[in-house]
Amino acid sequence: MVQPFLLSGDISDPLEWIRHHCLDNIHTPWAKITIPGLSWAIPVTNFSIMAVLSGLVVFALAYVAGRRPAGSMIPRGVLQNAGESLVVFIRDEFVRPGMGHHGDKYLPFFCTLFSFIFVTNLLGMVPIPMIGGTATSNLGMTGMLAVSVLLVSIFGGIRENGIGGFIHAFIPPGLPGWLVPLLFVLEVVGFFIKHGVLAIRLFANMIAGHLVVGAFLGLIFVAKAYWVAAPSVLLALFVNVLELLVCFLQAYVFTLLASLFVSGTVHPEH
Amino acid sequence: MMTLIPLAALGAGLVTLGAAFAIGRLAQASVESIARQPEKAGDIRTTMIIAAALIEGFTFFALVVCQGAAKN
Repeated sequence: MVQPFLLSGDISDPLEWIRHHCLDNIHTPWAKITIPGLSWAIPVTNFSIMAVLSGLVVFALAYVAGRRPAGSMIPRGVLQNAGESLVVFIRDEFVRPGMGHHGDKYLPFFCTLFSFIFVTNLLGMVPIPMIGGTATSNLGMTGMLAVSVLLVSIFGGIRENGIGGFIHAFIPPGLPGWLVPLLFVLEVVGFFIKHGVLAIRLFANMIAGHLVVGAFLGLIFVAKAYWVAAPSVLLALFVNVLELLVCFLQAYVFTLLASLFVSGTVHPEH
Repeated sequence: MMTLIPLAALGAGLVTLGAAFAIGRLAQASVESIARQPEKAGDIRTTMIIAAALIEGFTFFALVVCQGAAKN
């Protein structure tokens, strides 16, 4: 079963079957979506398929978990209870400590963010032939996630505090007057940099795990010896299990930092 | 043209050294404070994860710069 798949790629590159898992096949798209009036086509790669797939999985799970008989607030069954504990976890760990009860209207955003990143990371660990891949190990994907966080912190801050209050949040309280212009520029630049680093952190963490697995398995092809194979496979297995932890931890860290950034503009120090 | 790959590799090594030192110090301090005040373990762990994630993000930023230098 596995043999034709393993041999299907470029035979001169034995790591191809692991590399297609980490790197986007942007140069060999499965299909192209052409839009009339646009001169370029949207390529459909394995990463875009996986991103849509995990979106559908999250939507289906959330739909089933959120369905309840009319007038009843009591969750029934495993999935509904799991969904409730996830939402309560995100509310009590991320949203309430930073934003208080006002933050509850941002709760759906953080729930979506957490569950989408978590499911995308986990689906990346499943070796699906041909279309498998970790969609979050693409800088474009994580960049869009970070841009959505950026938009929520900008427009959330403007909605809660007005434009003046939003700009005022960039001036740290208790400064001597001559330092204000300098620190204002630094804070504005830092605001964009910290959202950009949010994208790079998720991207680099997700790609690094797969590259380490690939490097350990690559030792077998470099040494071409049986005594290398056993420790390589064991180490790759160890890194794979570690990746499962990293999948959760990165979704946790991304949502935690996103909630910190949003609360920094929605409820600034004053 | 001179290749930048050795310099980029050296840079990646230096970045990793600094980040490992920083996260090690961070973990040391938080383990010590959890041992001293186990009832504060939850708060300390969250603060530790935030600080570790910030260090890590910085590190990955530098590593991406190193990778970009190696490609040229």
